[in-house]
Amino acid sequence: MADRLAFHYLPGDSLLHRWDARCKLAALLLITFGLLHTRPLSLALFTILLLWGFRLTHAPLRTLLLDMKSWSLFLLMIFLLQALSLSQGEMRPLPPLPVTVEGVETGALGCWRLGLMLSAGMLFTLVTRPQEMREAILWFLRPFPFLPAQRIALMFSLVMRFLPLLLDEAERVRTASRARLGHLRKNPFTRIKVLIVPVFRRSLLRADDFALALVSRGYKEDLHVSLPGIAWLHLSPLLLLLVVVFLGSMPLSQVFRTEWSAFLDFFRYPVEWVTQSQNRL
Amino acid sequence: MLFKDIQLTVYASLFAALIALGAYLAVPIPISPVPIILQNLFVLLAGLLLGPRWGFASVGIYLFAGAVGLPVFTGGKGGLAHFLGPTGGYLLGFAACAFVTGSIAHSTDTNRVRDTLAVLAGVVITYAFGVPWLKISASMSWEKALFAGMLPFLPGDAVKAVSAVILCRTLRPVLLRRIQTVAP
Repeated sequence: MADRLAFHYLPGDSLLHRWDARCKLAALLLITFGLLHTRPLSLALFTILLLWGFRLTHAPLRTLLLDMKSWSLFLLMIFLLQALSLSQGEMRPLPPLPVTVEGVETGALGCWRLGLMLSAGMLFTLVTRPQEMREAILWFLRPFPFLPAQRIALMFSLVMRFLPLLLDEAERVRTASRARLGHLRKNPFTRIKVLIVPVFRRSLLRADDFALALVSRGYKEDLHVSLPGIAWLHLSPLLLLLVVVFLGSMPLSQVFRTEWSAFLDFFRYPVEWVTQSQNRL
Repeated sequence: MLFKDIQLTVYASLFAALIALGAYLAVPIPISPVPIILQNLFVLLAGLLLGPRWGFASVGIYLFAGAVGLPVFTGGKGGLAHFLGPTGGYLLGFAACAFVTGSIAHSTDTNRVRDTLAVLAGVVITYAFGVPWLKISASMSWEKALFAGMLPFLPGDAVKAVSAVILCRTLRPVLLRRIQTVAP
């Protein structure tokens, strides 16, 4: 378990660890909202912000990057799908391949955004204790008295614990299957079956452990949880995020966008681009 | 609170996590250019194995986790805004799918025919939510919405529906045994 960090909590005492969990949750919401636009400027701003966040946590970045390796295959697939499927345009930088500049551009931006979303989720789980997460969700669900808030918060924190656990189990089962040459099978039904059944069985055992642990610790739903108000100091980073979200969606990025397309023109019409720049000089 | 209740709560969370990870598990198939995303296989399984109430709860928690901003929706997306986007109908369709599949499959005598019917109804319900929403939010014509949001996925759905029924036959005894033996 120790060789894998994605979606695990890492105990620590960094600024991000000490930041109020409710604000962290709000920040995550803001980031996903800001990442709706795939504009290069807003993506670049969020990249800087997230890299800074990862630096603050003092997490072993090497381990995290190794974890990202398995996700990169998924990102590559998304990129290829987008690059190949958007083939309406005429411009093809590599004539034998059915690839257009638009396809490559949207694919690259899409993958960049997905990578950022994954990193934001990872950073959030890295610095938030499941207990704090549960309390934060209870606090956010207070305005909705008709919802079973305690149960939702419990289930949410359980999901957060199951995510890394299932990843570990799937990795273990996949390694075991590869050792038995399972990856050479072509039939999709068999492939699904040999992956899912063992993962499901093993995780069901772990789930029972969780249930027993909850009961033996006297889990009750009518316990009252009261959290103190949020200090102003904790709210201020949210303002910074708001500014970044606004900057990403402002006309300023339109200016940046033309620069970006000028850069891409080089790949579209290399000869014209060179003659134009010679004219400019 | 009964032990069985807590046990099912934990199982529903397990399924929510499985649905979330299903967004990242893609299996290429020879018949179709679109690879299968295993996500709605787990939605179908949640309905089949946990029944209408807990199946619905597990999809609900999954949707909640996505709404909070975790990247658990198809293609690694997340955030509240995706409910209003063109694929938001499918997300609500998942919840309806788990409920409908669960209510048809959950009975005292479970058999393969009933499971198959339940899975088919589940797939139909997902599209019944997804395609009209796609039509309205992207202001497409009906034909275009069907071509963009349903037809390319049907071969994959067939594979997933068959796998869901097969897997259910294998996994249901495991689950029932856990529920019966551990409960005091």
